[in-house]
Amino acid sequence: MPQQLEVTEYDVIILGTGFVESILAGALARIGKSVLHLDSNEYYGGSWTSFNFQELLEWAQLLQGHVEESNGYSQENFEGKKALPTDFSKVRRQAYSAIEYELYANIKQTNSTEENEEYHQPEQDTSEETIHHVSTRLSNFERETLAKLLKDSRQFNLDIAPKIMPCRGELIELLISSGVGRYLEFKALDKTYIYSDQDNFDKVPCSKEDVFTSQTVTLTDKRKLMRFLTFALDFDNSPETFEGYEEKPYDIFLREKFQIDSKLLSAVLYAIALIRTKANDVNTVQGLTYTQRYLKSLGRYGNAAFLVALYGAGSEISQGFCRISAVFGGIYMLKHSVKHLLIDESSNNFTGLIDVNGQQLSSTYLITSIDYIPEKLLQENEECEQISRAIVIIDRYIHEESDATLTIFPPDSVGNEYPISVFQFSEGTRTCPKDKYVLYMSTKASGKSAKEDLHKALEKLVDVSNDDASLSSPLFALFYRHKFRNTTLSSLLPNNIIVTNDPDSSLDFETATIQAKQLFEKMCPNEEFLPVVPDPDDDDFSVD
Amino acid sequence: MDTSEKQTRLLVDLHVKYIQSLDTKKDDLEYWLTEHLRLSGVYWGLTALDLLNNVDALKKEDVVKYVVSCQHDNGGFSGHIGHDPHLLYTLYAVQILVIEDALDAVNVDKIVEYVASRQDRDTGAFTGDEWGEIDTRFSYCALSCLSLLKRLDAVNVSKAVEFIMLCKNFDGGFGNSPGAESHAAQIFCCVGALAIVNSLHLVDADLLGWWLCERQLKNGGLNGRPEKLEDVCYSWWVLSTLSILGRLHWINREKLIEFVLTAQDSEGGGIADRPGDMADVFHTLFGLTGLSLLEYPDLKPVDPVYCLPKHVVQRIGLAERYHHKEFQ
Amino acid sequence: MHARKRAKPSAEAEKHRKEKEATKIKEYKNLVESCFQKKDKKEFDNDAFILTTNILSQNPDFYTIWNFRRLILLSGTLKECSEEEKQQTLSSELIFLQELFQLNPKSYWIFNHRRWCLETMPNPDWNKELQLIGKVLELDARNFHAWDYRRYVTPKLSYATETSLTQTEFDFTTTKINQSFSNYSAWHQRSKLLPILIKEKNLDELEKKKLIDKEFELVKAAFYTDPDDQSAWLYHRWLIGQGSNISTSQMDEEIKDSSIKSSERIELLQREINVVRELLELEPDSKFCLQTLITLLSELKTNTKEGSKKIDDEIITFCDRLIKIDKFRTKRYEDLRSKITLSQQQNH
Repeated sequence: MPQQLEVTEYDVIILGTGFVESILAGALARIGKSVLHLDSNEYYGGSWTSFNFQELLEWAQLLQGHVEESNGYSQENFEGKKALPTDFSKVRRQAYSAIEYELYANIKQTNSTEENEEYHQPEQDTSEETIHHVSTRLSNFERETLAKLLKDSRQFNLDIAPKIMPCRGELIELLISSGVGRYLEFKALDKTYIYSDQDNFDKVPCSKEDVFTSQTVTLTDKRKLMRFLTFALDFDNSPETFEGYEEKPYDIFLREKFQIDSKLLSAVLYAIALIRTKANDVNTVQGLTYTQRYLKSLGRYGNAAFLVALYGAGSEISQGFCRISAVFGGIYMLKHSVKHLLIDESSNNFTGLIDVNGQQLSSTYLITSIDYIPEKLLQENEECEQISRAIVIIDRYIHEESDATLTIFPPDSVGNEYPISVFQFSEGTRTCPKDKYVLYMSTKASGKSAKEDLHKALEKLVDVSNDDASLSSPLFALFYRHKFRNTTLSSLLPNNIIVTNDPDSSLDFETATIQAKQLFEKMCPNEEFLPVVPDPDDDDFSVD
Repeated sequence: MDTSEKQTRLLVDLHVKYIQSLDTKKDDLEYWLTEHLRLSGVYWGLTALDLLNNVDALKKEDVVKYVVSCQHDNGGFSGHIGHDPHLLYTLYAVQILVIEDALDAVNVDKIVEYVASRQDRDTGAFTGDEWGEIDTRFSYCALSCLSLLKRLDAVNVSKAVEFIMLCKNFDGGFGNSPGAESHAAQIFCCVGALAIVNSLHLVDADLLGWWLCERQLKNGGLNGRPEKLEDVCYSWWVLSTLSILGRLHWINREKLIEFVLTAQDSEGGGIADRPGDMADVFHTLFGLTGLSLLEYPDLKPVDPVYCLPKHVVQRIGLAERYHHKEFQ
Repeated sequence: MHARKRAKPSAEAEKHRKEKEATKIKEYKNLVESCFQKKDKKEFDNDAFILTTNILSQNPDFYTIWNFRRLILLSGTLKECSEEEKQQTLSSELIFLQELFQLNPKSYWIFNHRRWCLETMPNPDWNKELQLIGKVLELDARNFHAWDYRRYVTPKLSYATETSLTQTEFDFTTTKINQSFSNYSAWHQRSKLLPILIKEKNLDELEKKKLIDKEFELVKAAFYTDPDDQSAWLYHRWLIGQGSNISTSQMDEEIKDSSIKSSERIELLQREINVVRELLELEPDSKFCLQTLITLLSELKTNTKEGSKKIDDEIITFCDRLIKIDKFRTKRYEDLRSKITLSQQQNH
């Protein structure tokens, strides 16, 4: 039954309910703009969304489908305007590659099953198709693992672009001031580990107490580290200390000025400053800025530098901003595709679009994620940054029982070019059921596939080959790559089409939040960005 | 931190007026809530006035009459008329009467009896009153009181010393009871008590002196124990102890004077716990005694053991029970 | 009396305040008057009790009223009642005290009354008290009233359960120190428990040395992490002073005199001198490093006749450095210095 909209003219139409688009939806509605927010998906979050287990499997299978398939819309003319066809599925699919997943036979969990027992059909029939797709090439044990995961499917909230939030930073301040924080729940991520040689993981000390109690940092290193951290926390007030090093690589500065090297250096670069690239790609000022941001985040909510949003951060936070938008009059339609974008050729101006029902909707601005841009307007860009990711469901925690931890593999530690980050989330963050844990791995792409980039690190964390019963075992692993397509893909676009970035390789939402702010500033130069919504019951957060 | 303008002189007249006005604050709730400290207030005010060369600013008759009215049948004194007797106030009473040279107005024997009854014969400790609280403050009160009355014979002095020594800590300081943490006020009480009974040799003067001089913070003020805020009252307790131990020069005199002077209330008079806060008579006394020890001009010298003007201690014929070291 | 900001309110505001207070003063004075009337007449009844509750809620430092309240309890509800009723009454007292405590966590009188209640109760729950005071120390780990109270409760609990709590209390200090090693109160408590622990465990020389070496490790980690923290250095100095002679005796003087100047002692001194020297290299302006080295070297000097001039010279350079670094305590370092030069002169 086609949904016809009563109102066809808006100040802004937004395509895609991803993170950046959603913040803009909230911000624009808040200042009184009329907003129509559409998404081709039947869920919120776009490329930032979270899925339950079955949905994740289906999504992976969808992306593995034939890339050349197109929706068949062609370019037309419409009332004197060029109607460029969009191809959401195809464009979106093109962002992903190297998708592979595997199920593992979990010998440990089969104490109630015998080896030769027949495979049992799970209770929910909706998963039948999924299982059928997968099950033909599985062993009995693997089928059993799959069945169990499907049974608990709804208890999973798996982020396809997982990110955490520093306790001091752009996003958290925005959540507090906009009131969106009220819709969310958080757990603290207060433990960071770093892989050192000889298969050991060291806990990374960041606060004075951590440094003091650390069993792995030598006395001299404790002093060096404390001296450095004390300086870094307030580095802008001691410019003499880094004079002459501003443009030089951060690691050179650390080595020469603070005699920080080897293990300690790795920890500072990759586990505190959280550099995602190689050490000499970051200059001293940048490095100190990242370090300071981390240190300032400590102590605000206990001894954690980060918070993790429950039920899937990308999805929940995006929805939170959409909610604000709706409160201030934004119109929402999910599973509502777009056929054509209408461009006025003479002025190269976007005037409106034709939706899946043939209805023409117009607006002054179009905000959209790249997935909705007509192919014709996208420039081929081979130089796009790519990110390799893995989502691994495991049966036991790694390191120690905790709601959320972060583990870093420095460059070259397991044959990796770039640092690998691994989030471990538990039921506490509502990522998975009580008896399971989830590892989110990511690194900048360098090898032939995501699996190649990440598997060695995975082997160090869990018992992939069933040799060691004391280690955690994997049950399911999904590897994939996605591009970080930024707006340089779309310089052919009219000026009133605002394109939002994909999730990037950083561990948090900071760059995305900043982009939202910048785009808003561009569109509405003198307006307030999500001003404080007065609310007497600010329970979840206290502004300190 | 407060941005009070630095004071460079002692506002003598203002402080005298401040002390005189204390009993007039009857429309402040605070005045009534601190009734149980009235006798202490008289001691603090009177001593301060004497140091300011103005002891007569409070009428002697009135003062003595008031003190007498606080004495109970058992010899002890209470914090105010009708309140219960306690060792703390008994000392204050004796100190006031000594300043006013009016010990004959009270039953001295009864006082001695009361104080002596406070000692636990087994441990040597002193209870504050019949309800049994033990604290080295009370050891000081008892010994100081009896010393002023020349009746130290009434208690077991060596046992008293034994108990005090049980309160000695790893840092050379003393706490309020065995096991308790070192605190400048308790240290003053213990060292003062030991000085009274000629047992200063039991104190590790170098170690304790070090702990005490480390109480001086960057702003010149002194705190009472590590990691705590500066407070004018510690410029008495820390200083007096250092003085007794002959190590007063181990702190920076100029900076501390500056700190105390800046804590004065230049409008209403009196001294506060730190610059910018409200003044009270307690901090007024201890600010002045601190300045006096530092030989600030216009102030009479104070005795670091008895916390009384030196001339008073000399008048009753008590020897100086501490190391004497002039400021160079 | 402490920490009240000076305010200069307008005449209008002052007038308003005085009017408000006038009613409060009247009410308060009436309460007190009525209460004293009853006290003087020795009327230990429920009305008197309620009066004390009202007064103490406003003014928990009014010690005479606490005394009166106890007399009322002793002559009234607690006289000739069953053990159960006694327990009930005093349990209510504890609840009343807890409410007052929220606003006055450092009042001597509140703690005094609490002790009295527990000692008068037929079945005091010492374990509950320990839990309670643990929570207080979570909020303020330096509240010495709370630590004193804990030191009061633990022997009672220990006696009641016939178990030693020394190890658990020792571990408690470890937890507190790990939370913040600037917690002087925790180090202090540790200094009290360590000798008792050694005695209770009946350790042989080797085990004792191991335990004490662990203490050195702990304190070392602290001053390497923050060389400006006094707690660790003071504890370190005490450990050195004790060496292998940690005992429960309070007379440190005796211990110092009788400490064996054995090769073991020299070894200990040398070891610690090296540790502190290494830190001094990383932090050349650390005053506590310099002071500690002076203390250690001074003692080493008395053990080794040779090289004493060399040691003296080094101590003098340290004193000179301290005089430059720590301007407030210059005269103390001058005293130290002249002590050395004086003894040098005497030896010639």
